[in-house]
Parts: sequence; C-alpha cells; structure tokens
Amino acid sequence: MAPTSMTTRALDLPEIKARIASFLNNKDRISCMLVSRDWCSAFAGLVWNTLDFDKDESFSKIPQDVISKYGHLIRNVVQVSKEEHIMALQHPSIACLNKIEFFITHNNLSILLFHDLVGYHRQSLTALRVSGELVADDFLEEQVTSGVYLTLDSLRPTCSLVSLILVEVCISRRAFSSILRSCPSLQSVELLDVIFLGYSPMLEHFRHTGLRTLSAARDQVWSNGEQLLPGTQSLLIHFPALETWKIKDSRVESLAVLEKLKVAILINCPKLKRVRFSMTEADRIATYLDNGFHGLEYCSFNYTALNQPVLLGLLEYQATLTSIVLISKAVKIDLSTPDELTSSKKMIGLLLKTCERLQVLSAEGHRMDVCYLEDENIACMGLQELRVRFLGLDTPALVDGCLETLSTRRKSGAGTVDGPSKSGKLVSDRVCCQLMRFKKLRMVWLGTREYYLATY
Amino acid sequence: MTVILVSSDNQDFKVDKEVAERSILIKNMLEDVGESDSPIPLPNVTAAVLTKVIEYCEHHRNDPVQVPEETDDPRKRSNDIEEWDMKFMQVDHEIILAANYLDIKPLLDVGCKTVANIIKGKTPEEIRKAFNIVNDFTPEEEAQIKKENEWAEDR
Repeated sequence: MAPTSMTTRALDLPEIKARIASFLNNKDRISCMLVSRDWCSAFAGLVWNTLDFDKDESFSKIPQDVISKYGHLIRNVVQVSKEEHIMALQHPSIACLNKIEFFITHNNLSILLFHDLVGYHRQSLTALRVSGELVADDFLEEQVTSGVYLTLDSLRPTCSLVSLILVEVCISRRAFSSILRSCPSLQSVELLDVIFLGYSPMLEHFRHTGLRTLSAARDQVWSNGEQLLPGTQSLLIHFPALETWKIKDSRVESLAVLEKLKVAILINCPKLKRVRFSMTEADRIATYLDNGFHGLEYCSFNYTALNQPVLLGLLEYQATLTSIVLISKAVKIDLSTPDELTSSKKMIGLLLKTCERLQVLSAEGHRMDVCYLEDENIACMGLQELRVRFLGLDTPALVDGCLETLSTRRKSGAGTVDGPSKSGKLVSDRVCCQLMRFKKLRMVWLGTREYYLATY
Repeated sequence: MTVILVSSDNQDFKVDKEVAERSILIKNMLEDVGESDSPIPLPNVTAAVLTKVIEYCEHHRNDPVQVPEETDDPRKRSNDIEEWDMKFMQVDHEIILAANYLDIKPLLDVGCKTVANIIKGKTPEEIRKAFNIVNDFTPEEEAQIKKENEWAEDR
C-alpha cells in the first residue's frame, strides 16, 4: 500500500496514535516508541497500562529511575501476590491505579503491604479483586482456622470502587458491611467461596442502595452463615437495589431453604428481576426456578439444560419474562454446528406461544423449524432480538439472502405480510415472511452475523 | 428525511438523515438545531473525502449505532476488518482524519486497524520510512528507551 502524506497528517494526532496502539502488541508498540519523541510518548501509554506479575516477573527488578519516568502511566496491576511485587508498586510515580488484582497469602507482611497499597489508591481505584485460598476441605471449622482473613479497612472513609470480587477469603459480617459503607459507587459484587463470620443480630446491616449486580452461589448469600450461626440474616439484606443475580453453582438445597430464600428475596431485594445461572445441571436450575423468584424478567442458562422441568419453571414467569438467553457450550456457533438438543423444537415453541412480553430470544444452538412459526399461535409479537438458526437455511448465502430481503422490505416500510401460502415457496422466503410479522424486530442473527433492521 | 452537507470546497451532498447520523458530530449538530433545512457546513472535509465517507455510512447504515466497547482487553484485534471495508480503506488515508473529525467510531477503527496492520512486524526504521517520519532521537536515547521497555516486550 502506497503511503500518502495524509497518513502522516492523521498520525500527527496523539489520540489517533493511541487508538492505533490499541490494535498492536507490545513488541510493535515498543517499535513505535523508538520511531521519534512524539511517537514515544503516544505509544508508551498502552505499553505501561497494565502490569501482569504472572508474565512480567522481571518488573520488580526495573530500576527506580525508569519507573519514575513511566510509572504515572500504570493503571492496572494484576496477579499481584508477593511482597516484592507490592514493594515495586510503592514508587511515588505510580499514583493512579484503577484496578488491582491480588492473591493474598498467609504472609502477614504482604497482607499489610496490600492494605497500604489499597489505601493509597482508594481515590482512583474502580476495580478490586482479592483472592485467598481455602483448604480443600468440606469442614467449615477446618477452613475457618486455616483461611485468610480480610478486613479491607483501608478502603475507609470513602473509596471510588465500582466492582469488587472476593474469592476464597474469610471476612466478618461487620467488615463486609463496612466495605459497602465505604464504597458508595459500588455497582457489582462477586463472591466465590467466601466465608462470612462473626454474625450477630446486634450488628448494623449497611444497606447499599447503588449495588445492582451480584454474582454468587446461593449458599453464599444464604445458608453457610446459617450452618455456623443459626438465625443469621441472609446477605441479601445488604442489597436492597439488587436487579441482577448471577447464580453460581452450589449444593442443592432443601425445599424449606428455598421457601425461606423466596421470602428473603421478597423482603430484601424487591427489584431482583434478572437471573443468570452459570451451572449446567438442569435439575438444579429447575429447583431454583420453581418457587425461587417473583416476576422474573430476564433468565439465562445453558441451552443443553433446557428440559421439561426447567421449561415448567420458566412458564411460571410467562407473564413477566422479557428475555430468555440460552447459552451454548460451543465457543462459536456457525451454520454447521449441530443442534445440541434433539427435543428442543416444542420447548422453544412453547415459550414463543406463551411468553407474550418476550423481547429477546437467544438460542444460538437451536435450529428452528419455520413450520412452527407458520402453524402455531405465536404470542410474543413484540420480539426485538432473535438469535436462532432455521432448518433449511444452512448456507451463508441462503441466510444472507433471506436477511437482505427482510432488510429491504422493512426499509420500504411495508410491514405487510404475504399470504400464508407456504407450499412450493423457498425456506428463505418463508422465514423472511414470518420474521416480517415481528414488527419491532431490531436485531436478527441466523447463524452468520448480526443484522440490524430499520425501525419505524 | 434528508439533510444537506457542505464540503470545504463548497459542494452540496444530499444524504438520508439516518445515514448522516452515523456521524456523532452531525447527529449532535442536528439535535442542537432541531428541525431545520439549513445545510450543515463541514469545513474540515473535502468533497472527495466526504463522498467516500458517505459511501461508507450508506454501506453500514444497518449496523448498530453504538458498538459496545470491550474495555477489559486493552489489546484489540486488527485482523477482523470486513472485506468491503478493507477494499474501501485501501483507497484513501485522509478518511481517518475525517472519521475522527466527524466522530464515526467504526470508520475510525477500520482506519486505525489498517495502519496497525502496516506497522505490525516492522522495525522502527521501517516504520519511519513507511510514514515519512524523521528520527529525532540520538542513537543513545534510542538504545535507552529500548532497554527501559524490554521487560514488556513479550506481551
């Protein structure tokens, strides 16, 4: 490609250089730094943006004067685990960290240094992840004696944290409450095998009114405190504004526990309308859905977990569900990927027939039969987003042809539906015809790429 | 509904509002003036470039307006340029400037990816040659910067 003088002019702007840098690896970025003084300052930003101590083991050996020169560019530090890592980060030029990911060990010095680091950056910090290590033992007592204890008082009085992740650490309920109080901007919390201790009914439960997203197993917010200290209040009491809960896998609980949880959700988190299950076992998802929630709007789980009990669970919420997102195991689904579920036709169909408020249906693993749309009485006419594949539309050319026609017809604003005749017509015509009926449809994916349709 | 855009060399372009609004700059301008037939002057864009930009916006008129930014991964891919976009960018680099000025992020990204692909694997000297840049470092300075950043090279 012949370079033009205009390229050079575009490259005079630092913001364009920074954008180009985002598409390069560090080796190329460093080559760019060596081009000229001007280029050096523009490309240094991303080279120094993130320190990963797993990969950048040699970072702790960098001379102080080099850190003085570039330290102000460092924003994220991940895989921090050793004392020398934190020592290296104590340089005064490193003054504005946004994200810290820390592996905590039993070493008291490193815990102390970690708290210092967090305290120093609490005005700029937006994301914090702390993970310890619990012994592989089911006995809670065992874990409590060997676990890593965390207080995070260093976040006080106020911290700019938006997202907090705690993994395999022990923390007291008072300390947890105090973290929430010090972080008014907090929007999401993820808890994975955290052991909460020291509950007392006399404790003040700080209610965080900004926190919208929780990612945790149910026994994390509910039963593990109950085991240790009967009468413990559910963790949900802290999250009155909770909207989304990503439920991680946990033990199957008794129906009695489920009923209790249902009450706890109703009292503590009346706004909780969105759940995502990251477990794959259908029977667990069915147990959660049955009795678990009130007025569910968004539900997401693994596509292969869709079976009759799960479907029945979903149908409990047919009046309120607006989004059903079924995730496929395969990383990338294309037209040749086989349908992982053989009995899915009726089940997906039943959802279309009953959930009249449905706006988003995503089941990339599913192959839909257009006959079903033609023959059955579809309820969800307000559908806005659809991700399925259709039987018979199995080459990119067919899919693109169908969607181009759909897009053109929509643009012409017609919105009219051809007669219901289907015999002798091509599948792509029939699919196009059926999709025309969904007047609010904005986005369609049929196995190739996303198509965005004109809206009226 | 159509709007009239006026290039720096005073040529008028009649464009669908939906297409023109791919440019966040124009979109904001239209929102500010409200309902109006008055032409929009674009003093930083020549007719030749504006023709190309409009061609791009027409081709991508059905794309989502805001592509979600994936902030987690600081390194983005540059090998995913659509075939149509690739041919399109080969013609003219002035478009990058126009995309920046008009605030059309997807077009700016295509442009920056194209430049990134030129840079990939080149030595500093080869990059200077490709973009006509004068080296204002002394050999010592260059060696020093190379040494200071060595630790980060493998990422």
